[in-house]
Parts: sequence; C-alpha cells; structure tokens
Amino acid sequence: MRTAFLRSWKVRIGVAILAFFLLLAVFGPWLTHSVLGLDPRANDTTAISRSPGGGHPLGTNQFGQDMLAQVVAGARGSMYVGLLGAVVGTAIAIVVGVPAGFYGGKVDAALNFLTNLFLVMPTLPLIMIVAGYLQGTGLTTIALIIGFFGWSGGARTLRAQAMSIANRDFVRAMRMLGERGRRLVFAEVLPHLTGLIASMFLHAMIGAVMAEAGLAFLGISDSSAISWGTMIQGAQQQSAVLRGLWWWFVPPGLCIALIGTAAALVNFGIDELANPKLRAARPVPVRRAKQPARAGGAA
Amino acid sequence: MSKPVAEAASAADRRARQPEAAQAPEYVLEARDVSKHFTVRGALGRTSVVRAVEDATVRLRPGQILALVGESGSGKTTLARMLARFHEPTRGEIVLRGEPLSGSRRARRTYHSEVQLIFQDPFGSLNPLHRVRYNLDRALRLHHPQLSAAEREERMTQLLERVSLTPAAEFAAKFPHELSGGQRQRVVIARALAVEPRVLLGDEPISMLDVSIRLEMLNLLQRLRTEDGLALLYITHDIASARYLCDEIAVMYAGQMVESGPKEDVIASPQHPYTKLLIESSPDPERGVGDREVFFAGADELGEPPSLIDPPAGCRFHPRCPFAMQECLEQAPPRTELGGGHWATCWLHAKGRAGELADTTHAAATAARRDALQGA
Repeated sequence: MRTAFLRSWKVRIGVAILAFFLLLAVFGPWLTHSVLGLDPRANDTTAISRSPGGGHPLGTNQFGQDMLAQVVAGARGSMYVGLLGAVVGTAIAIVVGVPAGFYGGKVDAALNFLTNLFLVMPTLPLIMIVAGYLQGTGLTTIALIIGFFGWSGGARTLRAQAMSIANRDFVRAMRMLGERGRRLVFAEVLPHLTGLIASMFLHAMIGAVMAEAGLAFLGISDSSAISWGTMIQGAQQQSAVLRGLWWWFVPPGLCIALIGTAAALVNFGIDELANPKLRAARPVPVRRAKQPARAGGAA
Repeated sequence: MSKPVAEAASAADRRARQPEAAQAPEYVLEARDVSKHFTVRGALGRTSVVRAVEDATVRLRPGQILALVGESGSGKTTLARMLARFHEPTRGEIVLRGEPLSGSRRARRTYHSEVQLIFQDPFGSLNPLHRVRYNLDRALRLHHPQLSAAEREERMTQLLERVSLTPAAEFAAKFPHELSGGQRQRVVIARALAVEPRVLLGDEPISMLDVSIRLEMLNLLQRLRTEDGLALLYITHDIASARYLCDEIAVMYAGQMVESGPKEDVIASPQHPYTKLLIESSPDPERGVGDREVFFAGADELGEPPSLIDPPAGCRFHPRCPFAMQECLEQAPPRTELGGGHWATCWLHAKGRAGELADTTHAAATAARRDALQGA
C-alpha cells in the first residue's frame, strides 16, 4: 500500500524535496559549520557583498556573512515556523470543524460562529498588531500566531465534510450498535477526512512558511533569527534587485517556491492513500511475457 | 377532518387488542398509532409539514414475519426508522415487551440490543475504511463486554458461518469494497446478529441485491426466524418476496395503513382497491400472456401517489380509485374487521359494495369508470 503511494513520480519528487529540506533543517547547520567551516553569523570583512565563488559558494551579504550558511540556517527557521504553524492551525481546524459538522445543532451554531468570526477577521493586520504587542517575537511566537489565525478556512471545509459523513448509513448503523459520540467521530468519521486533513496540513505548512516570509519582509520578526523571510527582507532593505545582487534573494525565494511545489506534488498522492477504493482501482502493471510465437505464424 | 373517525377506529382497535393480548403470545415490539411529521422549509422560509406516517400500528410477535408493503414514499422506511429510533414519533408510542421507551442513553442501548435495523443499501451501511472484523468486533465488544478476545474471535467465526461467509477467517480480513453486494448485506446481517437481537427490521434488505441471490437472502432470513425465533419486519414493495417469506402483510398507502391480515387472505382476496392494484401490478408467471390486455389496459392512467404535504381529503386513495364514491372524497373510511385478523379501511365495506372488488380488475374498473365518465 505504501509502495502504491510512492509509485507516482509526482509524489516521489515531492517527498524527495520535502525530505531534503527537512534533513537540511535538521543537519544542515551542523554540516556547513563542520564540513565547510562556514558560520551564518560570522562577518568576513574582506568579502562584502561578494558574488558567488571562491570561499563563499553563494556569495556574501552586506556584512560579509556567507549566503549558503544563511540559506541553510534559514531552512531551519522557516521549516520550524512552517511545521509548528501548520500543526497548530490544523489541530484547531480539526477540533472546531469536525464536532461542528458531526453534532450539528447548538454545538454547530457556536463553533460555526467562532469559525466565521475568524474567517472575516482581517488576519494580516491583526497578526501585525498582536506581533507588535507581544514584542519578543521569536520564531515560536510567530508560528503560534500564524497557526492561531489561520485555521478558519480548514475548519469550514472539515465541518462540511463531517456533516455529510455524519448522515451516512454506516455512521447511523454504528450509532444503532451503541457506539458513543466520541468514538463515532474518531473511528468512523475522522478516518474519512485523513486525505483532506493531510492536504490541509501541507497547505498550511506552505502558508506558514510564506506568512513568516511575508511578516519578516514587513519587518515583523526577530532581527537576530535567521529565516528565508529575514534574508529576503535584508535583500529588500539594501535594494538588491536594483543593484543586481541576485544571490541575496534568489536562493531563499527559490527554496520557498520549491517547498510549495513539493507539498502540492505530495498532495496528489495523499488522496489515494486515504481512500482504499482508489487504492484498489489502480491497475497493477503486469509485465507481459515475451510475445509468444504466433500460432501458425508462418501460414 | 378525519379526526373523529380515526379516533373511533383506534378505539375499536384498542378494544380488539385487549382480549387478544391475553391469549396470544406477547408482542415483542409494537408501534401504537405512531405518526411522524417532518417540517420542511422552502426557499423563501415558508414551512410546510410532510405527514410521512399517520396513525400506523405495527405489532410483532416472536418468530413472526410481518411484511410491510407499499409504493415508494408511502412511509414504510420512516416507520422502520421510527422503530429503529432514528426518529422519535410525533404522536403515538413505541413499546418494547409491553414497556414504553424512555429517552435515556442507557434505555437506547438496551433497546438496540433487542432491535436492529438492516439497511436497504449494503454499499452505504458499512464503513469502507473498516474491515469486516472491525464491524463484528465492535458489535460484540459493545453488547457482550464480558467476552474475552478469544471468545469474541470464536463468536465472530460462528456469526460469519451463520450467514454463510466461509472461510470465516478470510472474510473477516476483507474490506467492504472487496465484497459483492450480497456478501456485504450478509456482513450487515451478521453485525446485527452479533447483538443477539429479538427483532430485526429489514428495510428493503434485498432490493439492492442481484436478483439471483435474493432467494438466498430470503432463505437466510427465514432460517433466522425458525432457528432463533426472531421477529422480523420485512419492508418491501415486492409482493412476490413478501408472499414467499412472511406470515402477515400490512399495506401502506400515503403514510397510512390501509389493509392488513394473513398473507394468503390479503393476496388472494385484497379488500382495499390499492392492495388490489399493488397485487395486480406485480408480475405473475402463471398469468397467461393473453391476459395482459385485460390487466394493464388502463395502466397509463393509474395516477401518481399523492403529495404528503397536502394529502387528499377523505380517503387518500380516492383520486386514483376506480370505485370512489362521494363519501371517499369527504371522510376518511372506517376500519372494517373481516375476520381472522384481516382488516381494511375502505368505504366499499361500509357501503356493502365489497363484492365489486373481487369481480373485476383494477385496470378494467379504471377503464369502465373512464368510459362512464365520458358517456356522461
């Protein structure tokens, strides 16, 4: 079954890219430090704004800091915000959306009101205000804020799906059998939403990476933290585009784009994983034996 | 409009029940004069009430199979769902072993350990993400918590063998999509049986199945009745299968019960024009090919079932009935006891015109009525 998931080339490429960035986030900083001897914060005053080449494979910035080391360190920051933001956002979406759809009635009215409230709130200004108010905006705070304000759309989708599943005969049948509400939600309804939740999670992850980059671009970030967002912000402040310093903004921008693409590619395969019917529908490729000699071929 | 008559009818019914209850074995499950009204909201916020079931009475004895027949939309399924407690009746009560129901969760659990519903669609009533084993295991865990894992396993094998899904171990490991419709329905039945119920409600349990395996399923239900003394409410629109399986037939039309009685009496001499129409429209291989003209001459003008939001006044069947009289348009017909537990609600009996029913066919009567109307 797992292999069926990995059979599609899109999924394989997506998983490979995501795995690469995860590994980069975990082991990258250690590798650049011990193998290449590069430190993202060390100022090389002999090489200010140097283009790629020599001791700095991706060049340096205005402080003479190595860009490769910065991208690698930024991967850790961005992936951390992405994952934490997605986990928080998806968890809230599940906790609010699924019970709303499943139980209906007053529970739904209350939870749906909450969802709608968050749906119409202008998120970005609010995040800016909250981030400004919380002053010590470390990456964790940023991730939590992004997750906390970004769950409403997902909750809405899950509510609609849970609503349709809650009225299906198999849920009625299990309820008649005496299953309790919580078990019905988690054993009967939720497994049908895994595909949706997984793709929501990946979307939320891209969203959080981008939101972090966006916030950093607007100056809402911890100035000492390194992430792709702060790198792009640095490039913007020094008008790198006008000065043709492409190595300041292309590597982090490309990384963000790559993660987005990878998540989308993985999404193609998830649907199949979550739905055993689709799983069975995939034709098993049968290797054909060599064409048998045609019966009476000569004639 | 029909209140006084309906009340009189149900009072007569109650009187009839008292002496009967004393001698006959206890009814295991009864629905007493239950009604279900649904409120629907239109696009403009206008609400209307759908009278899906009105004053229906169903009584089931242990070991008895009662067939509930009627066309689509006549309230059969709503009645079954009330008996399965998916809907609470708007009026009337449901009585299990002589005790009315309470709404507590525990009472509900006890109720469902005695009464189980088999859904019409075996493709919808099994969660596609759970194996057969999970379904049976949950039923056993919930209703027989004292069993150990090994005992549950043994019980599961017995259940699967009971519904002829062998080898049991192989079927237990399958997902629903790996099973055929008939096999799925047998899993559904096995899951219901795991509870060890006293009553099974079959909501058209064979209508979604391939014709070739329907008989097998009917025989399975028959066997459950004879071996375990299960009471079965068999809902169908197929008179032939009802005749094959059941002991008694109750006929519903537009939410009301119009006739009920032992199956041979009802099928051989229907005492309500609708029952007659129903029986004559079911294919009968013994009927000669040449008779077709006689039977189906008026088939095009048999009319549509009435709206349940705004049902016809008087007898609900009168717009389609070839025997309709002035009374039928104005007043609901009284219930007439015909002996042997056979009864019908039709004005023909009150007016002494019952003989007309046996002499003609529905189609012929319709044709004759049309000619008469055109002549006038």
